[in-house]
Amino acid sequence: MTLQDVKTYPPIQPPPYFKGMMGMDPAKVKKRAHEIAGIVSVRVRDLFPDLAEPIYPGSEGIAAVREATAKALRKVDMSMIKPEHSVNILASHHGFTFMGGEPYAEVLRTVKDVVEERTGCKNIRLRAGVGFRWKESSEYIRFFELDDYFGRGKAIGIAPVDEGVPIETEVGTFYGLKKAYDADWIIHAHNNDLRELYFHREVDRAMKPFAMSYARIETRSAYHSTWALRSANFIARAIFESPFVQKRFAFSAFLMINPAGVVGADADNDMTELSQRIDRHNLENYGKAFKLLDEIDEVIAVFDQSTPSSYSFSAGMAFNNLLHAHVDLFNLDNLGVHLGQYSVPLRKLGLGVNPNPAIKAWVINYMWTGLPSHRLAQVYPTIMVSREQASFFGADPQNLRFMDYAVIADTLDAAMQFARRIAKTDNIIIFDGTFGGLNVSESLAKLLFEKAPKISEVVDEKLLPMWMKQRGFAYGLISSAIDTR
Amino acid sequence: MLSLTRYARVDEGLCTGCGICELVCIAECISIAERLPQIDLEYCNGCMNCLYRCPDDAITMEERTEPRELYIDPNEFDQRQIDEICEKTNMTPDVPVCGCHGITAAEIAAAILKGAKTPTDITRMTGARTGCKSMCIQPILRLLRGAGVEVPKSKGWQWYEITPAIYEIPHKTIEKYQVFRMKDDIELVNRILKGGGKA
Repeated sequence: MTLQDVKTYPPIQPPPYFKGMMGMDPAKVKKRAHEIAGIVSVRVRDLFPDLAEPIYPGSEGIAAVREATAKALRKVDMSMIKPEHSVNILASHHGFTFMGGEPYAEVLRTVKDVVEERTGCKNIRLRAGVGFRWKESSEYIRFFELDDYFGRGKAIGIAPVDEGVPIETEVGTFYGLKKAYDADWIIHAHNNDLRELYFHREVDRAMKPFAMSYARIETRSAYHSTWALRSANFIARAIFESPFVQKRFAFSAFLMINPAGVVGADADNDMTELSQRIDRHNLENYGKAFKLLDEIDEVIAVFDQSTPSSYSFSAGMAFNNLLHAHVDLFNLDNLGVHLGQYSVPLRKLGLGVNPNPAIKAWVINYMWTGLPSHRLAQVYPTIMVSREQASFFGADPQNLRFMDYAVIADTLDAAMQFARRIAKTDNIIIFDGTFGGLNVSESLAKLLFEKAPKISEVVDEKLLPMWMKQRGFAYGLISSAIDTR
Repeated sequence: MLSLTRYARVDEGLCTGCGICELVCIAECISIAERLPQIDLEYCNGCMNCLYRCPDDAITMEERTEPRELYIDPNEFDQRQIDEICEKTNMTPDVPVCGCHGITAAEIAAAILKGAKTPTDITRMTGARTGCKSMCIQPILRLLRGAGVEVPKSKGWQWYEITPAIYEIPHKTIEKYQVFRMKDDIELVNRILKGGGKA
């Protein structure tokens, strides 16, 4: 490999921090992680040229997202919605964590506008759920002025501790959130992000929010604790197929992304069809990037986004995918269980998933609380930048013991110096919310370019056909499935 | 040992008396009197549910002068009884039911043997449910049932009922949805519960 083969660029400017209650005031951060000396950026489409080209970021700006969403909605039947009806657009906080949140906000605005225009219905509400961090959706609604857009009081954040409603399924009763379902019709407006592959395993990806963002704690607990295996994803399917949901369900609209950015939108009245298209899309669009992470043999991970640990992004790949990159989680024969009531006994059997040993240290320049993360600090050398941020973490009821396992550095530079000394590597990857490329050290850039061609070949020839077959998909008939333009 | 250092405080000038804080309080330490929340600081775990769900941003967290320390030692109870409760719940005693704070099934079972009758009692005694407030409710409800406790309906929205677990799924469903690998997973769970390698 020559130097010319390794295409690097100046660091990508990440999205600005979002000021929310789960993070220290971002104004107090003195230096961003991409400003660390020696950091360069690598474009994902230089690594994998066959990755679908994004429409956003792009020359048309956010208008491209509106156009793609409106186009996807043209094939959707909305005739069931009458002017006198009420409609809940169901959303989730996760979508707002991509590219500053504007693309997802624009999908939500577009769905509202198109439904209103085509049906004459004026009573369209937004119900935005959360996984953890009960107030996060409300903060996004305020920031993107969605309450004004939908009409005062019509856009609200909902949380798993809000009033519940029983949902009878073919296997028994689960619980949803009453305010998610308090309308004549629901529209499921989400995104396809790979996110937590270790849970959803790319099976029925589109359905998962019915067991998560729109669900009560009892249902979420079942998913994470008393199921917690590959089969947990059936809970979402059972809820979605229940008469309770079916009699309200109108259609789904999805923001479609890949590591390069927004690649389009998709929508359908048939959720099973849509979910399978998304699963195929994600196998194609994330498979190589996920397997490339497995090629990193040693690395320091640096966090610098207004998101918690697992949900911080580098080139559109959430950190938890690096955390589990050493196991092929697309392969359904692998168990991939790391929590829940079976995790400890499974580890004793040698069947559980331990954290990726390639991560040698992690540095927290800026990160949100609101996700239990102390187990990571127990496993990896952890360096927290700033005493104030350390105090913030110590006050989070989900991370009361986090700082018991971390050290504090007053500056990012001091943190990096210490991290390099204990990790004994120059490989650095930054999780700062970038899409299209990733901010890394030069040594890691070189490694990624060395490994990408072989990974591409292995995924195309061996892994992708296997992943497809396991899900009952015909390999080779996929790319045309989603009209992303 | 869980050390809790914070408690909730209400700004009476901002509070509109909507009562949502009372409905979501996992320790049931909030009650509305004369349209204002009264907080029993003896039991407030500082879980922040009230703060997160307050529509008026009327709740803040304050530092305790002395931490509130919670722990029930399973070793002080008959190990056979703890094992029996866990076994009836299809759990092993060493499983962290509350992942945020590492509170095990054995400690929850010990709290039940000490007299806990509801998830609220368990929260007050062990601190479970103080973290994410999301993962642990099913194992807690199941451990209570495994001990023969009939859990009443919650006073607010603190908990609903036990939902189906993987090992309770009918055969026809397993066959119908094979992509979810339920058959394999159930075999695995049975293998765990039978003591590991003895499939």
